[in-house]
Amino acid sequence: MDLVVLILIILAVVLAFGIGANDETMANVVSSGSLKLKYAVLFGGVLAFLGCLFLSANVGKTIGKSLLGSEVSYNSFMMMAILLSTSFWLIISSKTSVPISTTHSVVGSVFGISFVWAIATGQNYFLSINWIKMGEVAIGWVLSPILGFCGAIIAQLIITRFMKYRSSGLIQVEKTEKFFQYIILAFVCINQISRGGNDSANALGIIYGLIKSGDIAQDIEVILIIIVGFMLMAGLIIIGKNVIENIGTTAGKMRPSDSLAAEISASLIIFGATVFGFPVSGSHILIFALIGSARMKGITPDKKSFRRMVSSWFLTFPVAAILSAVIYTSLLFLV
Amino acid sequence: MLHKSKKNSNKKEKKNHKVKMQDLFIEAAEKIEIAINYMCETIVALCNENLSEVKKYSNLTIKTEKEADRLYEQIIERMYSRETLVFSRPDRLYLSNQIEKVIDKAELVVRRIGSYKPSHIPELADLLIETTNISKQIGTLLKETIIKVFTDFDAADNLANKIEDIRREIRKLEWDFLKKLYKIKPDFPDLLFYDNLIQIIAITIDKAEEFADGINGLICKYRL
Repeated sequence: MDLVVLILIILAVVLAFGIGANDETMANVVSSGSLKLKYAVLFGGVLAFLGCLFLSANVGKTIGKSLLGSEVSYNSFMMMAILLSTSFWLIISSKTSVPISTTHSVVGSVFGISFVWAIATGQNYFLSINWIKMGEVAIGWVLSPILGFCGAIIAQLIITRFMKYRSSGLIQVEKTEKFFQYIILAFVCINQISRGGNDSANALGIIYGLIKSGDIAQDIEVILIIIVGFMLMAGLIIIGKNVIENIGTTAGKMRPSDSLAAEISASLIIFGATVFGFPVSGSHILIFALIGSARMKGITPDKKSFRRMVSSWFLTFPVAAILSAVIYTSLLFLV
Repeated sequence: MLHKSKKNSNKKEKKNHKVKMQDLFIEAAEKIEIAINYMCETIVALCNENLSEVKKYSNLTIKTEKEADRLYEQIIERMYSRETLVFSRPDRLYLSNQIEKVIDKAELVVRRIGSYKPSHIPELADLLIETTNISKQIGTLLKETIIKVFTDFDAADNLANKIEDIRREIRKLEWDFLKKLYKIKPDFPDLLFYDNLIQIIAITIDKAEEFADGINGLICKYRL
């Protein structure tokens, strides 16, 4: 195996670890008291591993070479630029506590390298991108948070109606909330498996690209998927517990019925997107779903935090594109 | 040996937990009614100049307060177990704290009565007995409100509103009592004693009303 290919695999594996470390899916389980942190982290890690193993293929193949135009020859330097820019932006964002989407970073990076490729080869830039595929991905990005928002409103409406009949006294309220704890647990399982599949695809997309280009033998595909899944699980168990604990304790006084609507909506949309192969941002969907359910209860989200989050989402794409373009250009000059 | 004693203490703990936390709250709520009733009986005995009854009911009030303290400790001990949900713990804590506060105030009234033997003033005694009748009603209503908040928000809401209405009568009686007291102008120690006594009784009832208001707030929070 080529040294460059080996470096690429290592970078993809490191990226998987980073993705797992930033996974906050189990936070709701902890904040609603369904599971203790240590069990939630272990459970989440196993589910993410299963998601990577069984649900990553469709999304992974979309994120890989298929985003580039047919004229572009997808090479190792391009992959390295994508991996480095995504990992770098992930680290910077994590350091400044700004939540970003790994998927947005990866696709932004693909834009960056395609731009450099067009300049370097003197080709038309519009030929460097598979616009149909990119359009599908963009529609997924726009539609998924909107669906998350609307789904949460509907779910909240149903839950509120249900709670009206079940809130005759504090004991009854607590019994209903305990019942909701188990339902949350079921939806979080769907969400964690789906996110394991959807998010790990960002790392696996590169590996699928290498397999398609013949740099990696088809035989070791499953082994690599297992390694990526294992790293995803390790990231979640070793570092992810901090994110989960942080979010889980921040929302410490949340009632299970408060987070159930958002959880139902987010988990179903992420699951659907993963099964149909759309790379979506789990964080964006979950946050829009939380806003939807909060609006339904007459709560306005904190404007300052919301503005900060949205601006970071808009920044991710151009920053990742610029970073990957700079890294790819540097690699071209170095070699 | 150590292992055996640990096993025994675990068994004891499990046995103790056979009493539902819910039942502890009901028992604590009943203590409010009992303590206020004993407090009222002490006042009535004072008005009837029956010192042995004063002593008897004072001791019973103090004993009830101590029992309520033990219950409070048991509730706090079990507050952070899986019997309760995280979101309702502050509210359960609020309920148990307020129960303790009302009973503490009732104890304060009987302690005050035990500190001095005033001269008998019939006009004031009549008003005091009238006050105890209303206080007893408030004690019973408060107990019912606490019990109902766990099972029936609507009933608890109605009971809490009733407490608010009845408390106004106590306030009126307090002013009448003070007016009469300053008109009669007894000896300074008697004046001070009666002035203090009516104020502490009013404070006890105010605490009960404040508690009822708090329960109304809880109902607003939980009832959709």
